Amino acid sequence: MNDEMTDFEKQLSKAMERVDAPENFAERVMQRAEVENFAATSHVRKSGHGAPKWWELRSWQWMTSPWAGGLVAAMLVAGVFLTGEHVHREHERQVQVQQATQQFETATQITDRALQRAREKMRRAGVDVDQ
Amino acid sequence: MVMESGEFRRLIETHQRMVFSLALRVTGEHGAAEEVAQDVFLELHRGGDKLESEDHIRFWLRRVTVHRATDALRKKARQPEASAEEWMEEQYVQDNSEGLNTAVIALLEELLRTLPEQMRVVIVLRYQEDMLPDEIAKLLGQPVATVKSNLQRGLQLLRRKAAVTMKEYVR
Repeated sequence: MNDEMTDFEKQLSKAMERVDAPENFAERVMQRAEVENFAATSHVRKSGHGAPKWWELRSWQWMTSPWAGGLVAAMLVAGVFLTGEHVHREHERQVQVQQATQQFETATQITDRALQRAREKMRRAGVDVDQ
Repeated sequence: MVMESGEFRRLIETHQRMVFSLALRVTGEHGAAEEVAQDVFLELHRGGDKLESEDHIRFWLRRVTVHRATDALRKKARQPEASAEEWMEEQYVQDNSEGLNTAVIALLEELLRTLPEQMRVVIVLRYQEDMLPDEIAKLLGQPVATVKSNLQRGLQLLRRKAAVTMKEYVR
């Protein structure tokens, strides 16, 4: 390729001079940079040193971690244990309620009989207990 | 690590004409060119502290602008008639001080936009940025022979097209 420019190339060079950037171009770029800076710093503020906290992870992300299987198994065992414990306690409570009810009924019957005997004694003694 | 604000503004003001003109001539659209130019400067803002000298920054800006502009060119479904009007109205209202009139410049720009991407890029770098073929080759990561070939073929094509539309200017 010949290094010397032809007339056409010279005209092309003149035609292809740099043009001005649009008005306020620099301001628009600076504004976008500030927005980016703000977003970056607020993210750092939220998450400390950049490592996401567990509550910042998406809800499904923890499932892919190696300890997820163990965690699920532990939760199942705990669930079974707590359910069994709850059933047992409920049964005990019902037994206690039944016993208390029986005791109350027995006590009421004893009291009724004692009152009846007392009334008969008073009646025989000539006391009018019905008034 | 982002660049300090004052230094960043200085770099924009120094290089905005170069970046915007490159983007404009490669994409052929004013709006797309501004978007590309803004993105290039934001990329500089994010990682520009790694660049060591003005020459390094200029080289980086030219390379990234050409890549971003060619990406934009490929993505965009363009409408040549509409953008040609926009181009002429927005860019060439003032006459060129060296004597070429507005219409000729606009026509040359129009013809440039009809060239295949690779030829267009090397012609813009050669005649807008005044870069030599080996510098262009380094910037684009291509062999010098490829750049020279694209330059020569692009120039021939442009010359032939210009001969049809503007005979008096082609010698």
